[in-house]
Formats: sequence, C-alpha cells, structure tokens
Amino acid sequence: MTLDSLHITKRLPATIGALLSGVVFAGFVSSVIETPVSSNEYLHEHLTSSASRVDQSWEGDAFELPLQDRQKLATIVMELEQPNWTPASDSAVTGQALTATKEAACLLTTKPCAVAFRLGREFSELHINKDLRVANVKETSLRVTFSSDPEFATVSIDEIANETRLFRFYQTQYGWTQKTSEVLETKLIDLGNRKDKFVEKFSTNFVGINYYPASASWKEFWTEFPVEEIRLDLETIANMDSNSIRIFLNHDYFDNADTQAEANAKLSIFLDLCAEQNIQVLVTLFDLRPDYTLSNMSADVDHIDQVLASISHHPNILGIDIKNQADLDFPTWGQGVVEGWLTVMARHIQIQYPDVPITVGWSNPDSALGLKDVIDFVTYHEYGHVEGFSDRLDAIKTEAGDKPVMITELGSTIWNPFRSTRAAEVKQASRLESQLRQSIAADGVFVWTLNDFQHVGSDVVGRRPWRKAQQRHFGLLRSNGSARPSKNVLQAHAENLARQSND
Amino acid sequence: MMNRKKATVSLLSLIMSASFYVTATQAQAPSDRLQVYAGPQTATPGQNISVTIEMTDVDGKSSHDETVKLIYISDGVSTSLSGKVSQGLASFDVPAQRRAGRMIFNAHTGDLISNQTPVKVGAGEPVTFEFTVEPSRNTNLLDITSDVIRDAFGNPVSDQTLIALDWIDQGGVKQSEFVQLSNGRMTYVSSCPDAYAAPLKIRAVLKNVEVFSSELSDLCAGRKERT
Repeated sequence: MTLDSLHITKRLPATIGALLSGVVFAGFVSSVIETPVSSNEYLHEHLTSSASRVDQSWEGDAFELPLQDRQKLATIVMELEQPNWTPASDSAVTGQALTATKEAACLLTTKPCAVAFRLGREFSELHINKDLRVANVKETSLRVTFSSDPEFATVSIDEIANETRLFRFYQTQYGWTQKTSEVLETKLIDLGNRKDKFVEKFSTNFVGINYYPASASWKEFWTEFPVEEIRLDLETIANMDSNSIRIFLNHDYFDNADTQAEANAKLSIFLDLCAEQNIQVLVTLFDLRPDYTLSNMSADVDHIDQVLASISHHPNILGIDIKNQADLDFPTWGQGVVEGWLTVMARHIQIQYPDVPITVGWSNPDSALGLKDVIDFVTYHEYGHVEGFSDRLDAIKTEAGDKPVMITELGSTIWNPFRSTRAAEVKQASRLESQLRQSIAADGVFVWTLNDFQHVGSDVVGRRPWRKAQQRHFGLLRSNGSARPSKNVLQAHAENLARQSND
Repeated sequence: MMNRKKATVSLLSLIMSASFYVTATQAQAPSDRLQVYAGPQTATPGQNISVTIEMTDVDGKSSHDETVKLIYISDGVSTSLSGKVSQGLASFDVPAQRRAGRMIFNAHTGDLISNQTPVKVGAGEPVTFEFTVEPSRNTNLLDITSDVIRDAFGNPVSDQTLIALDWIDQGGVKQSEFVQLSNGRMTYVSSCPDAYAAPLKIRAVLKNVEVFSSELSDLCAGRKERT
C-alpha cells in the first residue's frame, strides 16, 4: 500500500467540497514538489563504482597461486570490467584482453551499448606455470546483459546466461598483467515450464490478509516484534478461516550485518507461529528500498540468499513477492532498469530455490501482466473503482494463461473527515463485499489490512498528516481490537470458499 | 653393415640438414602468437625449470589442441619436446643443464617460431673443498689459499659467494672474518689471534660445507700460551 493507491471518494456536498478542493490543491502542489524528476533511460545513469567491490571467491582445495596473487588477479578483472572503464597508462591489461575490454566499455552516452553485469563469480586455477610466469584462470558467473539505446532513451535487459570465461595473465616487471579475456562457454538460462511444480500449491484458493501488528507497523514490525500480539492476531486470522497472509521484510533490518541474524531468527519464529495456525505466508522482499542500481545487483542477490537460505524449505512459505509495487518506481528509475533488476532477482531465486514460486506485487491492474513470462504467479493490487473489478480480473486471467492470478492488496480506509465512522465502516464493508463477490476468478485475494495502526512513519506515506491518517485506518479490526463489518465480510467469503472446497 | 663412404655421406647430409634447419629458423622473425615463458630466471644445475609455451590465433585468442615443440640446448645437446596446447598453454618441466651458462628456450609450430627465453644456470652447492694455511712473508700473518672451489658438476662457485673463516681454540671462536672468492679461489691473508689456548684451527664455512684446517699452533707459536 502506498500513497498512490488510495481510493478517493467522490460526490461530496458542495460546501464541504470547496473546503476539500483547497486541501486537494495543497496536496497537488505538495506532490508536484515531492515527485522525483523522471529522466530518460541511459545506462550510464545506472552505473556506479560499487561494481569494483572485490567479492571474489576461488574454487578448489589446493592452490598453486598464493593468496595475494589470487587477490591481485581477481582485482584486475573486476577493475577492468567497470562498465565505463577507460584505459590508463598503468592499466594491467594488454593484447586481446585490452581489445575486449575496450569493446565492452560503455563510454559514449550518444551511442547504443550493452553492459554485462556478473553475479556469483567464482574463479579457479586452470593452468599455472610453476614459477608463476603465466597463468590461465577460469571464471564462472551469471552474466546479465543490459543494453541502452540513447535514441529511444531506453534501457532493457538483453540476456541472462551462465558463462565460463578464460583469463590469461603473465608477469611483467610491474606484476601480473591480463593478456586475454575469452568466453569459453555460454548457457542461456532455461528454466523450462515451472507451472507443473506448483499445481498442488495453487490448488488452494487463498483468502489472505496483509499483516502488521497494530502496535508495530512497517519497520517496527521486525524491530519490536511483539510475539504475543502476533500470536493472537494469527489466531484471529485463522478463526476467520483465512488461510494466508502477506508480510513485508524491511530491507534495512534484514540486510544490516548487525541485525540480520536477529531478523532471520524472528522470521523463523514468525513462520513457525503461522505453521501452528496452518497459515501460508507470502513473503515480500526489499521493502522500503526503492533502489535498482544495476551494479548493486550482486549485493542484492546476496541479500536474497541471506534471507532465503534458511527459510526456503519452510512448509508455510506460499511464495516470494520480490518487490512491492515496483511499477511505481518506473518514472524515477526507468521501466527497463526496474524490470531488468526484477528479472535478475527472479531468475536467481528460481535457480537457487527452485521450489519457491515467485511474483511481483504490481500496484494496479494495468501493470499486472508485467514480467508475466518470468514470474510463477501474477499478483496485483486493486484500489480502483468497484465497477469493472471483475472485467479487469478476467482480462488479466486471460492474458496470464495458465499462471495463477491473485489480488494481493484490496480494501479501503475508513478515515474520512466528512463521514461518520459508522458510515465509513459500512462503506468499507460494502466495497469489500462487492470486490470479493467479483473475485471468483482469482486464485487468491489479500485484504489490506488486519489492523488499524497506532503509528505510520513518514517514510511510508510521506509527511502529510491526512495521508498518515488514511493509512492508519484500513483495518478489519478497530484499534481496540473489535471487529469492523468488513471483517465479517471477509470471514463469510473465506467460510464460503472453504465450504466449496470441502464439497 | 654400412660402408665408410655411405656413413660419411649420411653424416654430412645430417649435419647439412640440421644446419639448414637452424639457419631457416634463425632467419624467421619470432611471432607474437607463440611465446615462451620460463622460470626461475636463474637456476642451479639439475634444478627444475618450468617452461610454458603460449599459442594464440591472429586475434590473440587461445589456440587449442595444437601441437607445439619446445627446443633448447642442454650441455651442448639440442633437445626438443612436443606437447599440445590446452586453452593456449602447454607446460614442460626441464632440468637445468649441468654446465653453468645460459639455456635458451624457444618454440615452434608450423610456420611459427617464438621469442627466445634465456635462463641463467649458475653453479650449485659446492662439494667439499680443501684449503691450506702457510706462514706469510710478514710475521704473525698467514696465507690462506684454496684451489678453485667447484660444485658437484665441476662449475666454479660464484665469486659472489662469501666464505666465513673462524679461528677456533679450546674456548671456542676467537675471531671471524669473511672472504670473497676470486676466480673461484680463496686467497686471503689473516693474522693469528692475540692469545689462544691450543689447539688452534681455522674453520671455513661455504654454504652448507664446513671444512677445518690442520692444527695451527705451530704457525702462531710465539703467542700461543696464556699466562
């Protein structure tokens, strides 16, 4: 849920309408000021020096090359492969490697070019002169190639492949110098048809809820982690016959070396609590991190491994939502870059954790079919008009083919300064009932959200107080824990589906 | 049995063909496509020299499965070894020749001939040696000399090598001096210790070899007794 996906009620009394128009105008001015300036997509804008980070790893049990030589060789390769590398007089490269490096560099902003990023690099010794005069070194990596065409101001992902390369180095009076850089083998990633893997998992019709505890939303969910409150909430969800929830892993908390162990431990506890209630969990990664820097992809892949390595086999994982509402970042980062980044993350998960289905939670039906050939199930959010809900869903189902389609956010706020709380709650329930009635074709729906929140940070919806107020009041439960009519609507829907399933 | 005339002709043709080959290869310019790397750059007789031949195509990319020939002369005998390059490289282990000097390695395949890569072969560890100590023309001085000191293969030990000379009496080392070789020989003048307790000897240490002189008290007789 973000500031761009709030449903705005129309048809206001004229007198109040004038007042509101002033607020809306102020909001408009404010949003214009705050909206990031979108730019054309040039590859250069996405290249940073962080790619020079020497996160090398060497295969093998016994090495002929001493450690310092291995480090030196890997550093040479990494430095030469900066996408915007220019030769310096002391560059440790010559011959065919120099030609290859120049050809691979992406120096002119005015010309189309392609840049290869390499993830999961591993080096190994292939042939070493015993006196360390000359050395053949093999590298294996996942190569991701992006291309940029300045004429059309676009960046797009071209190819993902497992690649093996050969580098040759020889000793000069200045030390090791790279002489060749050759591709030995390229294997395009072919994951085949994965739908058969998940037939059983998606035979369930998911009735779910987006979840944060009332006392600890967004970042605070994981830092505070109120276990007893969570346990009671999960009981409530299970008692509603709801069989799934969607959660968000705050990137900073799960990525920071000081907190990641604690974060992973809490996530394991959370999944076990869900298992007690037989609740499946759709885990959303990279929350509150709108950063798609291409040269950081290697670190982002490491982040995925750091989170998934210990939980990917947990029986209560429904799937992985790589990024919440990534399409909202298109204007700032460029569609090609965002989609390329998502594709790389998706492929990494599919290769490393083949039993985990993946999706991207698109912010609206118009974006729902993004990367449909990459992801395993289609998910999108519905904050639009109730009218046309089923038509939009049907159109997406048709285009999605045999891939499951889920609406992973729907619902509405009851906060409205111009309507009584009781009336707003009735309207919330009525809207939800209409949406659920039209969602028969969906393979799952997830309501936003179980709870009203005591606090919503500015980093979630911005500083504007009315935005925060709206966001705090989407709950099926009131802040005192009592049920709103919408809770009964969802429960009836869940019970109905459960009954049909049992029949 | 081959008669003498035929044998002479055969030998002559062999020499001529060999010299033609040498002339032909020497006339040909080395190609960047074939490189020879060898090390260590200074070796001792018998030490392993790691030689690697690199072969590339005209674009600088590694050749594969091509047969290359390594050629070198060891103790005056021309030797060649064949091997196949794998991803551009083929390696050979060659023992350094017995005779101190230079070994030149080069390679060829088809029309290509490589650069020449030298490895210097120096003398190895000395075998045991002898030295003599005689009275000098000056009082209290002794002439210490040796023949040329050689390694196991007869190569003179390098003049860069130092010999440690220790005067040793009953109480241990009295004084120490270092002597640099000259043309492989030790030629040195030393003075007797001021005082010592017999027996008195000189110990010469060169690398791992330790040699003692005979008893020298008679040569330093005037000052041999402590009071």
